[in-house]
Amino acid sequence: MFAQSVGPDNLRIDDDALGSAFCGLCNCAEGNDANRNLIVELDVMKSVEYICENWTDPYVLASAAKLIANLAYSNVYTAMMCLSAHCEEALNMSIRKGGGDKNPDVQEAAMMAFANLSNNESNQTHVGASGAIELAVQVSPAARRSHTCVNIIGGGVNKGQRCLPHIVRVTDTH
Amino acid sequence: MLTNPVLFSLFCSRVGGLTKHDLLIIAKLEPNTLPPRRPPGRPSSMPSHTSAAAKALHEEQQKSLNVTKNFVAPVKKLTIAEEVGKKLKRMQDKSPADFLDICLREFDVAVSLQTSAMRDEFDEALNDLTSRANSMERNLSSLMSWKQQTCEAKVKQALQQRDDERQEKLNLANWMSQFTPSSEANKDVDEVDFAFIRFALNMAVACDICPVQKQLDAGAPAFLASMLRVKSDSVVGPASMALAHLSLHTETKAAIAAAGGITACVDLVNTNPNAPIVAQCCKTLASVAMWPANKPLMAGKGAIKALVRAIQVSSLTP
Repeated sequence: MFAQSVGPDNLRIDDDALGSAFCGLCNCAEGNDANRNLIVELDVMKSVEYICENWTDPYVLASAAKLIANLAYSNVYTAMMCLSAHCEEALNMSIRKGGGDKNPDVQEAAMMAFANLSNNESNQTHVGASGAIELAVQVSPAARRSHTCVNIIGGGVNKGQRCLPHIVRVTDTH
Repeated sequence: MLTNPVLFSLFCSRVGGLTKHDLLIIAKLEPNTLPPRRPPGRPSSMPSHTSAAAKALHEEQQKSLNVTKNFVAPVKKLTIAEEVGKKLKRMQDKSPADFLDICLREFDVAVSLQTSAMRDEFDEALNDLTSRANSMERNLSSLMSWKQQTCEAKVKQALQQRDDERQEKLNLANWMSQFTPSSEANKDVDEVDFAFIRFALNMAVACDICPVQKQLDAGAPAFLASMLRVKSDSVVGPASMALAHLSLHTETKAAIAAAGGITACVDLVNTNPNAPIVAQCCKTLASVAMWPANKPLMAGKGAIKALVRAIQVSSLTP
């Protein structure tokens, strides 16, 4: 059983705040190359990798995978920084423990991240060596229907993703 | 007896209810075509002289028609009593015993015909009544089924409404319980703070109900952003939640940034010790960042740095 919140500041930053923080960074990185570089320069990748490996909350895992996908999109430098922080292994881990058939959102987001990380031959080799292809053909039908599997196997690239924060409205019945 | 007016009038009064149609049936009646049901205690055979009389009457009519060939008078409908009366008048020369016998037979036939006609009418009326009752029963059953369906739909709608309201109350209770002040925060909530709390909760509820333009015209983003700078967490919590709800609308993202919402949220993410408040501020920042013009602004206001810091802090190993 993985801990959901292990930091010393876990009373202040819970999973809801953490997922929303990932969402905020994901939306900041979407369509803005300067923000991608800024986020990577702030040395967030090690924390992302750690959270992907240790957290189980699907909202957190999906948001982190989307952040990696947006950071790696159309930017060789940020993709290389993500790979140097072993993000592909973290994505593998998040799919294996937090994905599965119960959470297709995590699978889909991780596959998008894999697709965007593989934006040159060197990175494709790196991602392929991490076992992403094996995961891509084993994912649940919900994620297999998406175009992300085709992209990773064919070496395609996804567009930047927008991440909606989880806000419970008063009229929400669930 | 034939000439006895008392007996004749008595007979005529007993068969007076028969119509001309019945009389014509009597005139053309053959012994084989008598009605199946007859009054008890009376012979079921038709007297032969009745058909003879009918034939004679018919011949007489034919003759009269031949005579008055050029003029066709309107046919007067005779009742059975009149027809029988005519017939008996022609037989006045019979002996009293024969005449009485003829009278009795004619009376039996007339009564039988009248009974049969009445039975037919009754059967017809009964069939009509039955069909009407069936139709009414069908209408009633369809009406009842429609009523039942309507009631079921109303019950379902009421249950759904009850569940929605219950969930709404539960959400409100969760909201209120989320923003209890921490030990470091100020626990004193005065009347003004309570009014601000209610206002912020109402704004959070109203963001889906009230038109967006109306909220923008009222200056809701600026007011809620200014509420984030209050020292009491009891006020800041509902205000941050209301701002997060308000930021879901596309039209409000730029307005929140212009009203200083990003800066206020960044300060809270960096310093506030209350986790729900930090979460609501992160949601507001995430929602505001979806607006393209706000992306450089987020970097300039330190929002990216604050979010990265929050991620780094939560992932630090103890």
